[in-house]
Amino acid sequence: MEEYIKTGSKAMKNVFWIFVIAFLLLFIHNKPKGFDTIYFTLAFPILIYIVYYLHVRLFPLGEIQFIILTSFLTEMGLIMIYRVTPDLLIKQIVWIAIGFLLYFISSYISKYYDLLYKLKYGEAIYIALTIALLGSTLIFGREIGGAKNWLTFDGIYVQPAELAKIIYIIFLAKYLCTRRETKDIIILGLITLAILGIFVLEKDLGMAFLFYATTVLLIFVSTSNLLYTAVGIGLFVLGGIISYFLFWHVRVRIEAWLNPWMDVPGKTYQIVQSLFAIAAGGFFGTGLGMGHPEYIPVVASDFIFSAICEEFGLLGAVAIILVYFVIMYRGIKVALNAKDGFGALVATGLISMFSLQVFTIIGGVIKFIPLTGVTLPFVSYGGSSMVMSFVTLGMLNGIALKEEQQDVQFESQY
Amino acid sequence: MSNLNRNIKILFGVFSVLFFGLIAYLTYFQIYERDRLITSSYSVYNRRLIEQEKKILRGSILDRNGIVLAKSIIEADGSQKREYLDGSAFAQVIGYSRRIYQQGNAGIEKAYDRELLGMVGNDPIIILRKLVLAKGQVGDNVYLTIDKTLQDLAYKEMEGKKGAVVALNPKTGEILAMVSTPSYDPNTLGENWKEIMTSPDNVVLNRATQGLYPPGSVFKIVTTAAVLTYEPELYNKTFDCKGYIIVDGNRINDFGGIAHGIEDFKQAFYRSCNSFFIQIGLDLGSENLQSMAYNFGLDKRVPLEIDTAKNYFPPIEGKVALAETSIGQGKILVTPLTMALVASAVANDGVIMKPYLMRYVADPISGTVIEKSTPSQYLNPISKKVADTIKQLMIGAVNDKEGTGKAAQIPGITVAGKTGTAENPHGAPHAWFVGFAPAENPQIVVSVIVENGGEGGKVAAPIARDIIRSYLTK
Repeated sequence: MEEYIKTGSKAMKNVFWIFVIAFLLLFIHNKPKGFDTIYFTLAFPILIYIVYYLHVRLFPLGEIQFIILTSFLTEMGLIMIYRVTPDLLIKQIVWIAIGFLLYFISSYISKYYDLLYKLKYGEAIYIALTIALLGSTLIFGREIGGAKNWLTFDGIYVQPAELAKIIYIIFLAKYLCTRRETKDIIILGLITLAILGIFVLEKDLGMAFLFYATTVLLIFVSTSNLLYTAVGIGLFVLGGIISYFLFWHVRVRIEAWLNPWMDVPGKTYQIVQSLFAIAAGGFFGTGLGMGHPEYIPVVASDFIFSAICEEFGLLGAVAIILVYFVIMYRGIKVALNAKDGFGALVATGLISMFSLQVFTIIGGVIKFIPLTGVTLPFVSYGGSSMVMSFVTLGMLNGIALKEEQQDVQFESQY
Repeated sequence: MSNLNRNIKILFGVFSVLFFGLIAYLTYFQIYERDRLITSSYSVYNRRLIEQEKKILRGSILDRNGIVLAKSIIEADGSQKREYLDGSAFAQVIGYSRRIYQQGNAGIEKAYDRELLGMVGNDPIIILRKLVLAKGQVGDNVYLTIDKTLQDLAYKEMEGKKGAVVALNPKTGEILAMVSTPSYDPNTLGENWKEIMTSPDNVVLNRATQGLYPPGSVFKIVTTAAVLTYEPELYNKTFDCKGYIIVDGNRINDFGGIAHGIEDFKQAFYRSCNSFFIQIGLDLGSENLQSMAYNFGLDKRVPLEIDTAKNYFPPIEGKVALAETSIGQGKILVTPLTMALVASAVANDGVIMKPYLMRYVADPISGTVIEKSTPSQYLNPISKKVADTIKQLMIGAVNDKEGTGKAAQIPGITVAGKTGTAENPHGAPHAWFVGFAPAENPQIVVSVIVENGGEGGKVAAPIARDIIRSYLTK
C-alpha cells in the first residue's frame, strides 16, 4: 500500500512538472491575455493534487490510475488548446473541474449499481431515455460542423448523445443479463437499428459506429455466440455499402479516406491538413509552439491528436495512445473482477465504448480508417464529452469499489 | 453467462490489436509516407512550407566551381529578393520559384525547392547548428554541374540566334553547359511577368530540353548504328549517287542537288549523302531503324531534374516515311539534349550516362554535403565495337577533306562530329552539329542547334568548335 502511494505520487509529480514547463513556455511564446488565464492555469495543478489525495483517502482501493492518467490527458489537452485557441482554456479547466466532481459522484452512486439492475421496468426506462435524448436533437437540435447533434441552452452547447451512451450501456447490460435467446437478440437488433436511424438523420456517423460496435461486442461477450457476432459484422459491412450509395456524407468520408488527394481545397481539406501536420512533426515533433497546428480545421476538438503529433512528434503521440491503452487495461480489469454479471457487462460496455471512441478518432485523423467526427476523450475541447468521459471512469471506479464494499460487509458480519 | 471472463479477455485482445495497430500505422506513416507527403505536388496546400519559406533565407545556386549564380538578399523591409547574377545566360536552366513570383515554378528553382529551403536531410544536429549559428534559418546551397565560363561562352556564341546548346561529360552525364536563346533577364521577372511569359519568341522555353526539332542528318548516326548492329554487310555497300533518289515515285534531292557519283559508306557519311542513306535505310527496313531509334530513347522523355519534352518517333509506315526517317526528316522530333546523348553513346563506348544538373547540395554554414549526385547508366543502345566504328566515321566527318563538319576542326585536338541541316516547315533549315573531343578520350560532348540557321557545317559546327576548344584548353 505504501509502495503503491509512493509510485502514484511520483507519477503525479511528473504530471505536475510537464504542466509547469509547458505553460511557462507557452506563456513566453504567447502572452496570457488577462490575469484570469493565469489564475485558472495555476488552479489546475492544485485541482489535480486535491483530486489525487481525496481519491487516495476516500477510495483507498479505488482505481487511482484513472486519476493519474486523466490528469495527464487533460493537461495535454489544455496545453494544445491554449496553443491553438487560448480563449478556450478557462472554459476547458472549468469543464475538467466539473468532470472530476462528477467522477466522485458517479463513483459513489455506482457502488450501488445493483439498484439499477433491480429497478422495475428498468430496460424500458433506459431505452426510452436513450431514444428521447438522441431524438431531442432531431427536434430541438442545431447543426454544427455538419452534424445535427447539439442542443443549446443559453449559449451552452450540449451533446445529449454523450449522456445517452452511458444510459444505453446500462440498458444493454440489463437486457443481456436476462435475455439471450435468438428472438431477444433479434429484438435488440431492431432497437439498435432504430437508434442508428436517428444517427443517420443527424448525420452523426461516429456515434452511429460507436453504438453499433458496442452492441455487437456486448452481445458477443454475454452470449459467446460467434454467429451473432458474425451476423453483426456482416450487417455492418452491408449497411456501410448501402449508406455509401445512399448518403452523400458517407460517400465523401469514404472517398476522402481512399483518396485524400481528389479534392484537397474542398472535400478532403481537413484530412489532408491533418496529415500535413502529422508529417511536419516527424518522430520528435517540431517542439511546443514551433509548429503550425492552427492550420488544421477544428483542431481543438476533433483534430487535437494531429496537433499533438505535430508538436510532440511520434513519441508524444505513442505516449498518448499508451495512456489510453492502460486505461483500457484497467477498465477490463474492473470488468473481470466485477462481483456479478450485470456489473461485468456495464463495465465492459463502458470501457468498450470508451476504447472504440479513442480508436475511431485517432484512426480517423491519421487516415488509418475513414474519418468520423467524435472527440478524443479528456483531450479534445468540449464540455459534454469531457464530463461524460469522467462519468464513465467514475462508474468503472464505483463498480470496482462495489467489490471492496461487499468484502468489508462480509468481514464485519463474521 | 458462461465464459464471461474468457470473452472479456478476448475483448482485451481485440482492443490491444486496435491500439497497437494505431501505433504501427503512425510509425509506418512517419517512415514511408512522410517524405512523399512533404515533397508531393499537393504541398501547395501545405501552408507550413510557405510560412517557413518566409523565414528561411533561400539558398544560393552556384556553378560547379562555386561561382554564385542566384542568391537571395534581405531587403530593408525584411522581405527577400532573389538576385540572378548571370541572368540571361542561365535564365531557362535556373528558372524561377513560385515562392518568389507566385504565378509559377520552373527549372532548378523548382526541382530543388526543398533543398533551397533547407528542408532535406532533416538531421536534428544540422538544424540545431543552423539555429544557433545563423540568425534565422538559411536554406541549403545547390551546386550545379554547369561551368559558368562555358555557359557564358555558349550564350555569347548564340546571341542574336534562336536555338540551343548542350554540353555534357559523356563519362558521367554531368551537364557542363545548357543555353537556350533568345533569353530574358530573370531579374525583371517580377515587373515584366506577362510580357516575358507571352513573348512571341517563347523566351521561357528551355529549347535545350523542351524544344522539339527534326534531327536531320545528325540522325544518320542512328541509321549507321542500326546498319552496324542489324545488317553489318550493308556497311560494305557502294552506291552511285545521282544527286537525287526516287522512292515510290517521289523524288528526294540531295542537299544542293550535288551528284556524289560512286561512293562507299565512309564517304557517304563524311559528305552526309542523303541518296546513299535513303537507299541504306530502304535496305535496312523500318523495323531495324525503329528499334535502334528506340534503343537511343528517341521515343522517350529524357530523365532530368528539370522538365524535358517527350521525343517524338511515330511508327514508320510506308517506303517514303522510311526514306525520310533514314535521313532524320519526316515526322521525328527530338530535343537538342537527346541528340547530345546520341553522340555521348558513341563517345562513351555505347553507353549513355543519365544526364544531371546538380553536383551536390551543401549546408552553407558547415559545408556539410547533404545530397550528392552519382553517375549512373541511362541507356546502352550500341556495343563498344559499333561505337568505335561510328566514332571513326564522325572523326572523318570533321577531319576528312570532304567532311561536312570541317569547320569544327581544332588544331592539336581530334574532334569527332556530325552535321545536320534539317528541313522544316518554318523557313530556312535548322543548322545542327553534334560532336565530341578529344576523340581518343572524350571529355565533352556538344550539341548545337540554330533554328533556321542554314547549313549545320557552316553555322552550328563553329559554335561547337569554340565551346570544345575553350573547355579543353582552359
